[in-house]
Amino acid sequence: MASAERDEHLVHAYLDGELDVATALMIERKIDADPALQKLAREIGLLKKALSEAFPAEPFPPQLQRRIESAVFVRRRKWAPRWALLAASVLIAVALSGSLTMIQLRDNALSGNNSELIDAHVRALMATQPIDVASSDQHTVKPWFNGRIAQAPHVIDLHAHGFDLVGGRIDVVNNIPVPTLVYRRRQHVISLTETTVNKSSPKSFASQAKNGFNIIGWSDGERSYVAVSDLNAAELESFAQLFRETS
Amino acid sequence: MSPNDDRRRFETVVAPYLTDAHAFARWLVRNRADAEDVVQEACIRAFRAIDRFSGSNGRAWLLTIVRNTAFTRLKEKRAVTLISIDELNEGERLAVDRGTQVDDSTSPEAEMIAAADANELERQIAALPTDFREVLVLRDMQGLDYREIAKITGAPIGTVMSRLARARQRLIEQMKQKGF
Repeated sequence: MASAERDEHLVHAYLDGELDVATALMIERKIDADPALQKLAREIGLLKKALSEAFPAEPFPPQLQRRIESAVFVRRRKWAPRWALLAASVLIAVALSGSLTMIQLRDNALSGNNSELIDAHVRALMATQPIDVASSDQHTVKPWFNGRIAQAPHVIDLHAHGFDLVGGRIDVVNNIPVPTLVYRRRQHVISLTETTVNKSSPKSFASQAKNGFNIIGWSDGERSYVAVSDLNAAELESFAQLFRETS
Repeated sequence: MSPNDDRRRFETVVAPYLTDAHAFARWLVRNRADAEDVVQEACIRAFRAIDRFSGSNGRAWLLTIVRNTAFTRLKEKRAVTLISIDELNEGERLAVDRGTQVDDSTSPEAEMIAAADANELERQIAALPTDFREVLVLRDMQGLDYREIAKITGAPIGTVMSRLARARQRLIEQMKQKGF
């Protein structure tokens, strides 16, 4: 950066109170010595004053406050009866699609919730730990969900098959908290979310690729599962099959 | 995870900054109805992620979510063209960079800036490229420090400094030219 430009940026930072003492003294001396910088400093000061006075804070609109409260809280408080709704409407669609693998999933029924699961997976990956309870011991992970969620998930150790259990967390799908187990295959994290379904559901596997993630869903008749991972589709499917056979 | 705990956390972490969120959203999307939708959507996103928020700066966290939500919405609506600094033409960039050194006379211009009309100022800010506008709004209207702005916009502090300087110099320049 040209030094004149750098000095100008420093004048801004100086007037914003962002400089350490040494740099502030240095730029003060330069301002004193340079009429152009003096003029700049004066104009920045006037602009800052104009900006801070021209737009006084507006009170938060009361109707927006009400909208937010009902959008954020009210839906959440009614989560219990929505459990059945979720089971009926959402993940069951995975199970309903007939053939064995690589079925084209119907967008309208699934995409929204898969997006939420992908979001949850990605958010978890961005956190320092993709899990709320970190343990490779299924007898530690399973009890952790007690009291946090109205459903004790199946927790299965697949270490012998190269899928390490690393922990669990709770995700929210359609405003309903659901248990998610986290497994690892080499460097790939797998988020396996479980939800109850209506007992008459079929049990097929259904796969989908979305935003670079592979997703596979299935149902064992009482619970349905969705696994999300950047692991390749074939290995993710063998994970799904192992989990299902072992449970 | 009890819903009540989340609600309490939301009320501590997010709710105090709703006014900031609303003001920021309005500067980003430039439409009152859209801004309200953005704030609502951002609140829903914040609430969903609230049990994973571990930082201490709820305001910066919420404003980051507001920014992402607003940009998603702008992209969907294609209502506003996002102009980046690279798209400024050479003359404009030069004017932005040279800023105040163009003219040496002092007091009449200073008076013009001091007497800036809020509507005209608002129009000029709205016309700034988004990268400049968000930094200017966060600093000069909302009073965040450089570090917070860098975090919210995902830009290095040096970039924040130069965008802020350019945004201000461009406003100063236009106020002098148009005499408002």
